Amino acid sequence: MEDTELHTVSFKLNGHVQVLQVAPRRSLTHVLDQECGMKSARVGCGQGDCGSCTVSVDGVPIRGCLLFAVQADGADIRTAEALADPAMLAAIRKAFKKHRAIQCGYCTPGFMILAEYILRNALPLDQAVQTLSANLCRCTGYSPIVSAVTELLALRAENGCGP
Amino acid sequence: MIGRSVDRLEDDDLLRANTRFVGSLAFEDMLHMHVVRSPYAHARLKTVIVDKAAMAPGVIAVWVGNDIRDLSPIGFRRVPDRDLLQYRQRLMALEELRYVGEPVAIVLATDPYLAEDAGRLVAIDAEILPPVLDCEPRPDSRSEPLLRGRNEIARIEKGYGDIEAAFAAADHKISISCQIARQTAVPLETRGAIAVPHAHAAGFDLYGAAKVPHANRQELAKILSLDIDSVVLREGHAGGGFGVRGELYPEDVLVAFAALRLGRPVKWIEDRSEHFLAINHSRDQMIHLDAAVSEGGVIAGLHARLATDQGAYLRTHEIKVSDLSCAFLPGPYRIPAYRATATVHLTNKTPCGTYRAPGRFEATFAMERMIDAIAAALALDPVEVRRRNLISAAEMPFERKIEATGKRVVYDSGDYRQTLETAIEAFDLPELRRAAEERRREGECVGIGVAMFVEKTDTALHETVRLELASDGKIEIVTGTSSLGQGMETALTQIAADGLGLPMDAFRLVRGQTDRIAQSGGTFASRTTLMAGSAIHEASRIFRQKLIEVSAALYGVTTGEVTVHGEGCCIDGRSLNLLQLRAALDTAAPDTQLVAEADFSSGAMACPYGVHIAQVKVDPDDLSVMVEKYHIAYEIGRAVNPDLVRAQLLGGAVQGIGGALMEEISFSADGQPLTISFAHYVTPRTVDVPAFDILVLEDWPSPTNPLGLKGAGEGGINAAGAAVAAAVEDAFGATIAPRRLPITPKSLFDLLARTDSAHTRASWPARQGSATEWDSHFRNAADDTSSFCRGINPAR
Amino acid sequence: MYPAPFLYHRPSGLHQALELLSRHKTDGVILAGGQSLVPRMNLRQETPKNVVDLNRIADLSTLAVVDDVLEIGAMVRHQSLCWDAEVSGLSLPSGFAQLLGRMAGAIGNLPIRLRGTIGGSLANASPKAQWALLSLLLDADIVIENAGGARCERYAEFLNRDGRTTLKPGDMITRVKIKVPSAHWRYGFAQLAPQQNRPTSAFALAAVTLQDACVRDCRIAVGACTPVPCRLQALEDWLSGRPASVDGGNDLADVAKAAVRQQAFDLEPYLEHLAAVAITRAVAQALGH
Repeated sequence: MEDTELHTVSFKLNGHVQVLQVAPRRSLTHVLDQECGMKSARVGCGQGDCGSCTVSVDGVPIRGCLLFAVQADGADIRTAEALADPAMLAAIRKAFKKHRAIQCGYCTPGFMILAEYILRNALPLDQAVQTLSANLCRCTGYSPIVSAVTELLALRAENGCGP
Repeated sequence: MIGRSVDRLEDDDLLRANTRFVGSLAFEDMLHMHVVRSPYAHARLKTVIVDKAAMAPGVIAVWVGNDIRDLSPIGFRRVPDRDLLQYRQRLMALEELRYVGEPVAIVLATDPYLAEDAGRLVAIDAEILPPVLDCEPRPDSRSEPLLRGRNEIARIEKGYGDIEAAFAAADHKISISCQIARQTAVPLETRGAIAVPHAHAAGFDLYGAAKVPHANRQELAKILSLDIDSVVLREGHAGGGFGVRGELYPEDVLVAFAALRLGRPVKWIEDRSEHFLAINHSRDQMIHLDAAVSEGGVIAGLHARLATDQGAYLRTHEIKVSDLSCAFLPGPYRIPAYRATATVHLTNKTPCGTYRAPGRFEATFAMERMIDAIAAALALDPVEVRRRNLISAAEMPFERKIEATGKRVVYDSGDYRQTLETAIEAFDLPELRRAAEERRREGECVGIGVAMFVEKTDTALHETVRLELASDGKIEIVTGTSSLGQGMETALTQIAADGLGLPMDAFRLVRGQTDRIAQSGGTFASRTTLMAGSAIHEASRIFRQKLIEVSAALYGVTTGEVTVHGEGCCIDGRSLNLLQLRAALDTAAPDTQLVAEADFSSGAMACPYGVHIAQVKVDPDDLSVMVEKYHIAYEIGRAVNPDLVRAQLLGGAVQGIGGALMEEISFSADGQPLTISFAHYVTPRTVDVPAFDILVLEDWPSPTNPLGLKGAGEGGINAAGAAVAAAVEDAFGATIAPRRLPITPKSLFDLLARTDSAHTRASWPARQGSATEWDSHFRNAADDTSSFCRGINPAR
Repeated sequence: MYPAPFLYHRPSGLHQALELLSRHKTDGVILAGGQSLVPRMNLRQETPKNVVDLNRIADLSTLAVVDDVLEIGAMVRHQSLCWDAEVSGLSLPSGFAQLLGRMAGAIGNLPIRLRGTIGGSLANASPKAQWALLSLLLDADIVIENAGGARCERYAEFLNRDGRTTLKPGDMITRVKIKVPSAHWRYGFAQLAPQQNRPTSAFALAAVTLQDACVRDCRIAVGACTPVPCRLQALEDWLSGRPASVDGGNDLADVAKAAVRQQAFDLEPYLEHLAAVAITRAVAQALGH
């Protein structure tokens, strides 16, 4: 069987509506990367284990490699290029940089998506660490990522809402 | 700028996903390659039937081993013995399938999904043979050795001193057997390659390069019979290297072959399950040590016997890892007499290569376990036994009188004792031990482990760099070394900025492009900052001089009236930035190139070293091990960017904790790999990470290079297996001695069960027996336990 | 690692979904959360010709208490049961609500929990699935529908001892019904893995009621280390009537081990040990130790 059947899919990507023709078997990650030019959409394992593909779908972190693009019809998708709150995005970038939370950078977008979720929901630190455990990093040893998120949570608490 | 923890230049692009990872690159008219792999561990290949695949939608070509018979196998970067060349891996299998994952056919199609569809239609007709899965096939097994008789293909012997006399005179002979499971690096980005054929001449650009682009260029040109200048390797971003990425693998040659044959760009992206089958594995050593020891715990002689399960073929690193294990096993200890014998064995598994601290992670584990065994046997403090055996500062530089991969092992500088005492004081080891003991008294299972190590920063190859004033007024630092996430762009730019006295934003680093610089040794063995950095240091001196001369000529002043200053030059009181200078040059003397090239080589390796102290807590019921605290003191000579050094140590240590407690590649009895996903190959996650305390020491600059540098990449992982194992042993009050990595809860359960039930020995008699004899010891005795018993209480 | 091609169907109602499944009985699969199915499809371990996506059927995502029975729609995500906002409106006994949250929270990781569903989990019948353990212990009823009608099966009957379910082609789990236990019940749940956030090696669930400081009712189940989750009758009998302060130590562990052994799964000693540890912890927790 060939991919003769194409579906029209429309979703909001980083605030802009995208309309695409996709074969059902194409993953959201594949489509975001190859069709939409989102370089943060990356496959690390294709099994949901590593989280390199994590994107925000309707406000929650989702494994992009386990979602067919056709399923995202009507969804509000955010990638690490443009999180919903620009101030929060800037703060996350700043904290990641400051705490050396990046080495090769391949897993970084996925961790940024998790960080945004943690901040938006003001998770307590132990839950934040559990949440960050969803994704793999092989370079940094994680503790810089945890430091960055810890600082962001503290800033958020100080400022009442949003860093 | 050297010595400052400036922000990384790499980060802004990485945080904005302004990246060039090979997976997201695309070229017009590009085809996609899918590799059909052997489903068998061992089989005689009869035919590969490709007709159906060739007819499948989108397929442009399907090729099998026979179609590329004339292409030679991938060579070694160093040929230690021409006899070994027969064990190289062909690009695709011809007559025999030797491991699950061995390339059998390639499919080229217009779309990666279609390529995989067609790959499923390739049929492999083969006669299945029993696999060889152990170093020495057991006499009772049905396995048919890969080679007639036995599967040992190489033997490495090293040594010095009178070992027999040392053992004859020893008060004690202490023996241990250690084992390190098969592991691999698993960078988060899998491999990938895109070959883009040149339009008007034979040749191609290869994207996705890393680690050693120049060496790979040479090998690709050789295999494909091309002029070396017609092969261009291009490095973009690379999602982690750790030794495994960037070696030349069959797939790299196959994309290039296909692109040349079809005249179209060809892309291949490895998927994760392929990655676990195809990328180099590593470790997988058994190490048996016999030590001749005095009453006071001083080692007079050490006899090491190693066996490495090399997998199915020899790849670019041939038998190097075993060689490194033998060479660095004595570590920071004097050891007046030493003999090492390593045997290398082929098995029906994925071939092995280097992985961060290759040979040293294994050797340090065995050596440090031996020191702890000596301490236990003689009722001495393990730290005191280390003190009594350390090489002293007065003996530096210390000549080991053996070679590592053909180079003399000379420890360049340092005071091991001083560093040990510094670590003990800084981390308050006595207090750590006291607190652990108190917690043990209260029923917790907590322990402290100390390990020492000597690393090696490779200087075997020379390194050329060029500084060049570009048309936009930036000084380009052109190097063939590679960015794998470690922050080399930042560190090397700091060295250039320091050398020229200009701000970091005056520079742009160009890396991993083989058409931009003629030579590079590459990025491995922690060499980049030392080698490329030293060359940059020299090049910036030359560049500075040229800058002054050119500016003086341009403005008709003497060189004495020009200083390098601010954003460029100060000429007779007038400031000029580099862009203005470039513009002035373009007007007045357009042919003037402001270029400085320098080449650095060093006869001697630099040897950073350090101390790891781990604190672990074992759950007495389920026997899971949590590393609570981790301390590293690391002597690096001079830290270009201390934060980046710390980042390397921390990241390496966590990878090492994975190697100590979790990571193991395993196979079924018929040679099927059981660990082909992250669900089965367990690596650390955030919840597994301890609190860190890292001390970067700069007390002993290396005399091997002008800046006094030593490498940073591998000191974090080197002793992690040793320190964690020692801590686990301590947590059980030394009633068990874990000598096999990883220390999983199940392995601890078995170890404790054996301690409960069996007769055990504190140490073995030293044996000079036959290989078979000691090999049978290996099987029974990795994880041998000492004579105390302790039950586990499932209900606590 | 790309799935084989398939036709994609997105029914908007249950009826339409059941029709589709009936039409594609031999070559169709249900796509619920996709956190187990899609990895298998990516590896081509599963190559369905037709995929029926239930994610737009709102009726399947409801969570309600009807006549003292908790009805969980098949498409309810694991994470929903961790969220107070979704569970608190049901007025469940607090111990029970907490247990649901704890067991849901023990599944995979956040992105997996946000997508994965209870119905998908039960249909997969993985021995490591937390919902299987809960369903067994609390005698959940599984509502199964197909184009021909609906049926309801007790979980113990739904799952065979060899790990297969009674689901036939065309069948769909639409709801799980659990009789809301009285507020007297106390629970303990323990899950062991070689490392945190890793596939479970063993887990156990215990529920007890006490009377005069003694165990009155008692239910204990163990799983993950066994091919299917199982109740431990021998241990339940042993524990019933004993003081709640019963030594959580060796006695309990030994009886637990014996009870596991009695199930004749022939576990290796390590797994048997882990099972005993999990059971002991779960019971101790339920007894409030």
